[in-house]
Parts: sequence; structure tokens; C-alpha cells
Amino acid sequence: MHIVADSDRQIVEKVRSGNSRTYALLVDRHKERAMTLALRLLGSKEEAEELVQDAFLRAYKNLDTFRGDAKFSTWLYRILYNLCMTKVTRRKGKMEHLEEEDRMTKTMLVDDEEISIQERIEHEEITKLVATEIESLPEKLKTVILLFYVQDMSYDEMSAVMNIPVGSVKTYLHRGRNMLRQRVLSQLKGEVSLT
Amino acid sequence: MNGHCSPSEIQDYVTGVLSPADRHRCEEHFARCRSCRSTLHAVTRIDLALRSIPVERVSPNFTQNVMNRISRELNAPLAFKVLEKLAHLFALFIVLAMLLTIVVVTGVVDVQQIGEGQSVVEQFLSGQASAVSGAIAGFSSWLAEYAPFAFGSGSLGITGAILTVVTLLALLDRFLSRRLIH
Repeated sequence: MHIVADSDRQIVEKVRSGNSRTYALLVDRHKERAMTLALRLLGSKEEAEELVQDAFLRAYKNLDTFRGDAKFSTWLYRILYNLCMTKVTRRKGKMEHLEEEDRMTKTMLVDDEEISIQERIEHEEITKLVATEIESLPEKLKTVILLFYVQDMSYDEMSAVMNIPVGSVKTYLHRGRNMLRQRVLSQLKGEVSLT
Repeated sequence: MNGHCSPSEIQDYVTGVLSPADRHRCEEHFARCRSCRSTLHAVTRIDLALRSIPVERVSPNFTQNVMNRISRELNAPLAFKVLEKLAHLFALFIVLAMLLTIVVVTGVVDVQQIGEGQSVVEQFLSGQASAVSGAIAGFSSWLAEYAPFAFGSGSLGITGAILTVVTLLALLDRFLSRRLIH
């Protein structure tokens, strides 16, 4: 027998009609991707897990306000993103922010010098490098990269999650990729010059 | 212009958002430029790496923890739920009261007009109290005159009116909470 899983919207309807235990299905379905976003934004597994729980709880409490014109996941990520940003903003001191800006400026000045690195690029190595470099991106650039590549979201969905225009999403994505590419290439260039 | 494809163009080529004409131009260029091919290779690998970022695992009892928290919310005492719903409103009242106190104490409002012999705060509080009682009296007489069928008269009418006001405040608070969530 072929069993078709309920869509998010169907589960939401069931929860709204009083079957609150069905909400566990939504939690199971989205917890790991939500955790990926939160962990990358916050850096601490404990904090990230607590915040993801908070996001699920808030989503549940406000489920009657979920209009259904967007995906449940988009709505959930928006709540989670707001929680993460509040946390990050509180945590970040002004000095740290200035250091970040300084680092960004320096990175932007790195030339797009072409390096003969073909032989050195191994998938695992570059994946590790990319994962490390994502951590150091500014929050907004990091968020769009994660929403696009990990959550597989469209520009419209990312715009809804971050509450910014689609044009800004595209700009952030462009800047994020450029910055990431420059950082990864400059790391590889450093490794090449060491050998 | 040296004819090289810019890194942004190469990124767009990999993402598949380059126009057909630019795509064709880049492909022709890649065929004869080792440097751009090298960048293309790097960008493609970075793109692949981004698409293969692993999702993070949560603790084994994560879902159960969320459901337990939901259960606690559902079974919370009614008084707690009411207070929680009105929390934003209480906070707003406190902030407003503080602002008004500051306005009076700093002399933005002419204290002489309020009267001498009593402290500014006492004057302020008594002013607020008489304003509130005046408002209640006015509201109650308005009810008695215009809405006797809705709330009745006397203490029953006042109780009904207070309940209505509280409900309206709760609805306002609910609206504000939603705005904060979204």
C-alpha cells in the first residue's frame, strides 16, 4: 500500500482543528534544516538548539495567524531568523562589529588573481574550507547563502524570511558568493605558495 | 577590456542565470583561456561544496522536548495565560507612566498650575486617579443613557463595561503580539 505523507499545510490544519500532537511531524520534518541555519548563525550548538525549540514553540502558539499564503517552513524560518538576529545583536559588541567591517573591507581588496590551483582542489578539502569560511561571513550574507544552498529557497522565500526586498536578497547573495570565493581562493593560494 | 570573463560572470554562468548571449561568449572564451577555466573550475567546486553542506543533527529527544514545552503551555493556569497575553500592554503602561512622571518632574509641565503644597508626584497621581474615576463615571453614565440594553444599569453595567474594555485591551495586545512575531 502506498501511503502519501501529509503536506505541511494539511498538518497545520490538523493541529488547528485540535490535534496538537500532529505538530511533532512538522518538528521532525524541519528541525535539522532549522538547526543548520541557527547553528551557522550562532556558532553554539546549545544556543542554537534552544532557539530552534523557541521558534517551534512560537510558531505553534501563533499557528492561528499563519495564513498559508507562504510555506510553513518559510514562516518558521522567519521566526527563527528574527530570534537568531536578536541574539546575535545582543551578543555582538560594538568593537566586534567594527572588526567585522574591517575584515570585510580587507577581504574585498583581495585581487581576483587567477591561480593555477586545479590540481589542489579536492572536493573534501574545499567543502571543509567553504564550511569554515561561511562562519566568518557577516550574518546577512551568511543567512542568504544558507537559505539558498541548504534550505533551497527561492528569492521570494528568502525575502519573506529576512523581511527585505528581493533586490537586496540578490545583492547579498552576490556579495556573499564573491566574498566566499575570494576567501577560499586566497586560502588555496596561501597553501599553494607554502608548498 | 582584456576579454576575460569577470568572476561575477563566471559565478552567474555556474548558477545558470547568465543570458544566452553572455553564456555563449563565456564558453568561447573558456575554450581558449586557461586562467578563466581555472576560475570556472574553482567556482564550480565551491558551488558544489555549498550545495553539499551537511544538515546539522539535533539531540535525540529534541521533538519530545518541543512537545513537552507545548504541553506545558497548553496546561498552564488561565491566570498565567491572561497575564502573558497582557504582558506587552503592562510593559507599555509602565513605560508611559515613567515618561509622564519624567515629564512632570523635569518641569516640562508647569507645576505651578497644578498647585502648591503637595509633591509633584502626589499631584500627578491624584490627577491621574481623578481622571480615571471621571472617565469611569462618564463612561458609566454614557452606558446608562445610550446602552442600557447591552450592559444593564448600575454595578452590573459597570462590570460589563470593564469587561468590555479589558477584552478590547486584550485584543489590542494580541494584535501587537502578532505584529511582533511577524
